[in-house]
Amino acid sequence: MNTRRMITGNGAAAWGARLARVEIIPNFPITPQTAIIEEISLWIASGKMDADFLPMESEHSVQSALAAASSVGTRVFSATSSQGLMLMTEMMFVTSGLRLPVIMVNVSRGLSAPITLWSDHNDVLVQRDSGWLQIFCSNNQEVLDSVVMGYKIAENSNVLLPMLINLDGFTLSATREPVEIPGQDEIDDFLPAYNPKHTILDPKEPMSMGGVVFNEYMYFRSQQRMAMCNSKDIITAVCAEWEKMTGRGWGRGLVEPYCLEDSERVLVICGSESAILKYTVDKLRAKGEKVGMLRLRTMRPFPCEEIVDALSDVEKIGVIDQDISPGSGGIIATEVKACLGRGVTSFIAGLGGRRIGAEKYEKIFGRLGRDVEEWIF
Amino acid sequence: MLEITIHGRGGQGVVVTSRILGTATLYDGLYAQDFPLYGAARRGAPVMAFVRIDNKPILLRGYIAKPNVLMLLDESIIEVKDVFSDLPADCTIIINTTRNTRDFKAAHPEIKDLRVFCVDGTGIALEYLKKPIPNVVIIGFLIGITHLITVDAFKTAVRDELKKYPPDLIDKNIAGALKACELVTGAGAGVTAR
Repeated sequence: MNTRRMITGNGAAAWGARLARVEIIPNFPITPQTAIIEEISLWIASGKMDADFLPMESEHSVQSALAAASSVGTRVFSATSSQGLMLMTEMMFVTSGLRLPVIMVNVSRGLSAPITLWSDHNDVLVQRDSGWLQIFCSNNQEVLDSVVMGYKIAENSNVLLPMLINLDGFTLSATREPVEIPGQDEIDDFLPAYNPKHTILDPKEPMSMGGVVFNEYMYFRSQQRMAMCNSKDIITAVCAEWEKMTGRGWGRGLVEPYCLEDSERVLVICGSESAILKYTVDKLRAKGEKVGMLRLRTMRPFPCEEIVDALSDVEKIGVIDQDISPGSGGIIATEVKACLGRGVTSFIAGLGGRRIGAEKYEKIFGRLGRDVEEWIF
Repeated sequence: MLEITIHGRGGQGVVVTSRILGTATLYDGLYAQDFPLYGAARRGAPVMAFVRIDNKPILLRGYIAKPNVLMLLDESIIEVKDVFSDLPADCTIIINTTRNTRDFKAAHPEIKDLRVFCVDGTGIALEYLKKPIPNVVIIGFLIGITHLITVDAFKTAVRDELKKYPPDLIDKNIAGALKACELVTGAGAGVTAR
């Protein structure tokens, strides 16, 4: 039976893992993610969840254990943040290269130095070339839903890629809001047990994984690329199925358009800031201004066709980046420009959790139409 | 939408206060958002928590700068933080202090035109719990003054949020809060949503 409770983004991530009946959770604590694995450890200790909790000595080992545990055919989960995700980098490529459907939550937090505990997307975007699917969540409900849906997408035989699910540190991770928790029966019908055929370590049927190759290497990368392309249809189909069951489809799975029909000015954004931007759009629309928003829900696969479809008729486009690639610019703005084949106004804002707020979004809407990079302090 | 900012010190139950309000709001059939703001969390350090309440899903996020209700669980916060500047004209302030409102306003002229309620939450907490932890009692004052949440939803929410504590401590907290509510009922005329 469904229940509606006040839970944090971290709590929602833990609930997603519990409902998906994950079996092994290698973990290492880091703020602001720690509450996710704390909650899971309490559930395991009290018998509410049947899983193995593996405290590791570093995040590098966590990622190694995720890959190893997934290789023997178990459903695995973990969570990390910021520097922890950086320490996993080497093994992130191994997990995706071995085509293991690992689901991991990243609670985004700005990278050191200097130290910040607040949200910033540079940590997760550093991993954009690692062959993992990437989903950015806008609220706590979407976190729970995305973790459960994540397994169904990642384990699909046309995908078989790991997935990073991003939720914004503090803004979602420590904020409680009402979340519908689906019943276990409902989820069991939606998400069958993981039954891998492609790669499984079994002493009775020995298999070599990730061995040395030479000329073949490029075929493996080509297959990863194809899997990424395939994932778009699977994400859309799984979101449609989820919507039928729960009433929540999260846009078309790839992008969430908001008030785009007659928009003359549109801001492209991702993550939890999109809620404040919706508030601003509502406010400006009430004054008769034709403004809208396009939220990117998947960063990998990058929803290029969907962006072109949504924005080709829009005159003035801006992109909000809570990240910066020094020497290049906003990472998302660069990719949006490449899709559209024309300039956009690139706004760098909210780095290290710096407050943007509805009043600044109103001003930003007034500054579109120039192909420049502008920092919003 | 109604926005509440709560100040206090680590150990006084600032975060639990916000959680009780959020959970009670959900039981009342409305939408809520509650969240804390702290640096390195430790007993005695200044802590803030926030609550948003609305009859539709809440889109705004982050720090509340212009609260409808400001609650101070510890008046000594005033000495380390400027909590009274830039408050909106319709802000209701509830302060846990043994001073009376007239003396308090005389000492803090910046809030002389706002609706200020000086309440002795710690006194009631000492009487009912034998402990100087005033947070649940202060919510009783808040209910009496503003009627933001119903008493039934409040009681259920306290039982939810304090479930790791002994049942008799929970009962004493609720009894203290109901006493506080009774003391101030009729003192205010609710608060207005913006």
